[in-house]
Amino acid sequence: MVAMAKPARSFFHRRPGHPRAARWRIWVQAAFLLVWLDPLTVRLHTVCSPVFHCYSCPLATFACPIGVLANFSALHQIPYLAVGTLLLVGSLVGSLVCGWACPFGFLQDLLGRIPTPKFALPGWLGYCRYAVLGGLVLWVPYVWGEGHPLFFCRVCPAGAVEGALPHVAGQAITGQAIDWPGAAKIAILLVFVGMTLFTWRPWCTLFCPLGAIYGLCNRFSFFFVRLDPGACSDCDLCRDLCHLRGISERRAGPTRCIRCLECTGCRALGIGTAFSRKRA
Amino acid sequence: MGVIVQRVLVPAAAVLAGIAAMLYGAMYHRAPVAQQEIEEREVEEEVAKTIRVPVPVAPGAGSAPWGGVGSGQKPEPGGETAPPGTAFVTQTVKVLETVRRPFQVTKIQEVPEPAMIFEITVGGIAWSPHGLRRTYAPGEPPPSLCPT
Repeated sequence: MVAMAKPARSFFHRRPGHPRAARWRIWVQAAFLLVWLDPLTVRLHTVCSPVFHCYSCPLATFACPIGVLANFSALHQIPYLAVGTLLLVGSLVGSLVCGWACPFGFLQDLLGRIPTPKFALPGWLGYCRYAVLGGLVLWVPYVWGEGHPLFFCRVCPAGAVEGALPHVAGQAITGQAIDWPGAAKIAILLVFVGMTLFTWRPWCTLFCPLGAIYGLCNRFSFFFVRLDPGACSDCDLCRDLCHLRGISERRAGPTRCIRCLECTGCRALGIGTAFSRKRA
Repeated sequence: MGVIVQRVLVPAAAVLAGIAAMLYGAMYHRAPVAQQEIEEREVEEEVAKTIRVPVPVAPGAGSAPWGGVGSGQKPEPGGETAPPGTAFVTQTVKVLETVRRPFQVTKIQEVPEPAMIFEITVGGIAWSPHGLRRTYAPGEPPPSLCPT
């Protein structure tokens, strides 16, 4: 059911088959962090970002698309801007955003570098993301409004890390009365941090509604991971390289893939576009 | 070639749909939001006023208890000069007067979607069975930096 995954490695360790592009990933993620966490305090909260980042974060540049979807559902409105942003980015690059730009994914990647034994979760658990998207992001807010304890933002661990905890720290430093976040939010955060030590990107794998949307977009996006069947020797190196078990039948297009491009260390897999002649 | 067209068609349609949705949301989509505001209005109200009313004094009636003719009381500065045989009585009467009073009024504003996105990030708009309403008055600080 739960398989033992490969041990964590150090930041810059290069293993056989580790592709050049993927070696740059941590730097690209760090660079994107400067876009989402703007130190120049440019606040564009009228615009949705394509990544999962809480707009209550004191340094957040943009609004979180999932927070916008949930709140607009509570207001019984259609968020055209958020839907358009997700559709545009998703159809261009799919879940490449998750692997290379998402700050919450970056945080999980950093925590995942702690050398503890990692377990791979079964693939079917990825369907929980669609339950979260349909249930907590759309249905609960629409029916019960934003005051419901299961309203997505009330249980979101990204909101706890990026929004609630910095506000609590700020209130404590400035001597104001501390407005503690909900117990459920903190409990979920602790469980999530605990899980991150023992499995790769648990939030992305199990619960992320944004990953669910981009996962669907993986099926038709311009950019994809291409398989060259002629070069495949059934060595299963691609599966070994994939942290998230995103490769099924050596096809790197399933909805679990975050397009970290680690699997392109295998010579049978490469980056492709809709204009490529071969496709996985 | 046909395969490539098929591959390109779906993402191209999705890209165009995404751009169209973004443009519609940014430029045209608006939602009515009720805003409670304090507004000063002119209203006619009954106001109690104290006035001095001249009353005739009968000859030989002696000194009027309220002052006036025969009482030796001087008329007030700027007041009416009593004609002979007239006294004044102070009375409180209600008169209609136009005054300005603060009223709480509900205004419906058409809020564009980008502004709505900003408002939800600070908990500034809430849903009610009668429609959307803003949760704070203009000029006030927004309810919360972290709505949840």
